Amino acid sequence: MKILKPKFLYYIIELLELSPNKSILVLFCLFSISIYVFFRFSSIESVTAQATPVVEGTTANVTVSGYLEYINVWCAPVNFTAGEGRQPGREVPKVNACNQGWITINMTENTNVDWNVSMNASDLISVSGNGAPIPPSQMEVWSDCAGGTPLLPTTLDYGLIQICTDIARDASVDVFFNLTIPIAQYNDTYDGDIWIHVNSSLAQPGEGSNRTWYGPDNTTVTIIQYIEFWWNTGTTPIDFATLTPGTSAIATDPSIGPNGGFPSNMTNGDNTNIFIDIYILGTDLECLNDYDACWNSPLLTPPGIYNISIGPNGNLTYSNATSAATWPDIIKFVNYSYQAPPYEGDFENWHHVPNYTDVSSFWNISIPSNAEQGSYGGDITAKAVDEGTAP
Amino acid sequence: MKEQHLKILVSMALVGICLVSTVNALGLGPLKLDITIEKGKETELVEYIGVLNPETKPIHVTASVTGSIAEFVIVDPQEFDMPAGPGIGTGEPRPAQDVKVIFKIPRELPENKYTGEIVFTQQPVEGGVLGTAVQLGVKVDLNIGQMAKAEFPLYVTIMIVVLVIALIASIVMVNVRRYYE
Repeated sequence: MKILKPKFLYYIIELLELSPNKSILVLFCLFSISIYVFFRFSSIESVTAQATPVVEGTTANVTVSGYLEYINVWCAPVNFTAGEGRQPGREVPKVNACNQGWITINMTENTNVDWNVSMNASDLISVSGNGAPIPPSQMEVWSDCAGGTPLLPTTLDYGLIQICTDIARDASVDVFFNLTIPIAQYNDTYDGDIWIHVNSSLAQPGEGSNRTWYGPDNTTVTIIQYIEFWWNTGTTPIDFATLTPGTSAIATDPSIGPNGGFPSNMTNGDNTNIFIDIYILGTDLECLNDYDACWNSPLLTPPGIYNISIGPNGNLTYSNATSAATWPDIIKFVNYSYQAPPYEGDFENWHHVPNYTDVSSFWNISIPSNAEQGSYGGDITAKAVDEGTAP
Repeated sequence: MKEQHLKILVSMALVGICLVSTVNALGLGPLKLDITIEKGKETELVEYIGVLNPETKPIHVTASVTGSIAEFVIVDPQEFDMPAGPGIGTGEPRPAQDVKVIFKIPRELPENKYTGEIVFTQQPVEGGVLGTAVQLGVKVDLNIGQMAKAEFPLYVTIMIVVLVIALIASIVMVNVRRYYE
């Protein structure tokens, strides 16, 4: 029995006999090592030997033809998204990959002729299918062509657009990209394809003179929700005639100011890509001049019973609404100051406003009977929010 | 009669109110920021909000922060001028200002949801004593949550189990051997 034991096991057993604690340790280490050895050597790759042809001594004439090997493109994709995304109606550079506004194009080392580069691109297509395609003509490219001849700047197209000619064989060309996002482009992510073509008249005709790099979904941009909101300068200022205490009037008198203030239009801009709701916030009316009688009691009325009211809808016309009493449905009173909201809103026609749409506001003021003589003024702020969102 | 009229007119207050506007337009996006940060981790996070001027005149914009996020959020710049834009209906790109929003979250901030708004108000650059203005805002939800629990990959777990079994087997083997001796 003793003869059958391998010699090293004999030593191990001897060791175990000396100390039980050490024997536990040794067995555990042996087991761990065996697991390591098993996994380590089970993944050995096979090696294939290659025969080297033996060349007999002779002479030969060799002509090396012009050749374009392969295109290398660095810092792709052409991603225009920064942060949460981009606003419509904005010109933006490529970002992200390599944190740079450009891609770099060069040829692999066996290229032995100067080369030219062209590009073309597809539409950027809305991932959800809800946005209109962004055509490649919205993308502008330019480069210094690394000593070659620039044919730039230019916009991309579905067909080939020449970018540079006569680029040195070992040069690297940086090509910059800008995207002009169309006005009111729908909030979504858009992806498109881009092709880079390299050719050379010095190369042997055939595949080696004309190479193409294809980047599927390599142009991309995410467009965020965006509001553009106007209080039209063409319908402001909102002016009122000189009034006597205890009377009211609509801001309708064209002789008061350049616009007369009736109606005063707010617009959901042409670049907004969502529906909006409009709210109003006003300050108190305060006496403006220290030489007026109102200077000693500067507020027109105590806060909270403020008397500018706004008519709600576009059906209201000058002819059928000569005072607040004749206005249909909701009349909103503008209360309080910036520091003390709430905003006023929820006007029927100031809700779910599509882009490029005017909303008319109609203004009426009632002067308290005890108002002091003087000129008063205040501020009105109009706030546009995503439909259904609190102001 | 004439004197009486004059008396009434003089005794009546003469009130002129005008709400004057020079330039009122503003563009803004994104309209919402949702941010989640692990509790117990001191974090500085930067987001950008784009403000655009569609109006054909320069505008002046001020930014402020409201709500429970206000103590963690810094807006830079808080006030800025923008050059004239192309106007409505032109389809041309708008001049833009990227406003940096820095969230400085202290380590000791308790787990909670903090909300607020970054408000941008366009002020008239020039013009009357009184004015109208337009305002847009970015709603912010800041969630301070639990730390993520670390999970080992399956193969690591298996290796550990195998090694523990090997350790136990070794102990058993030694003890059995000692017993038979």
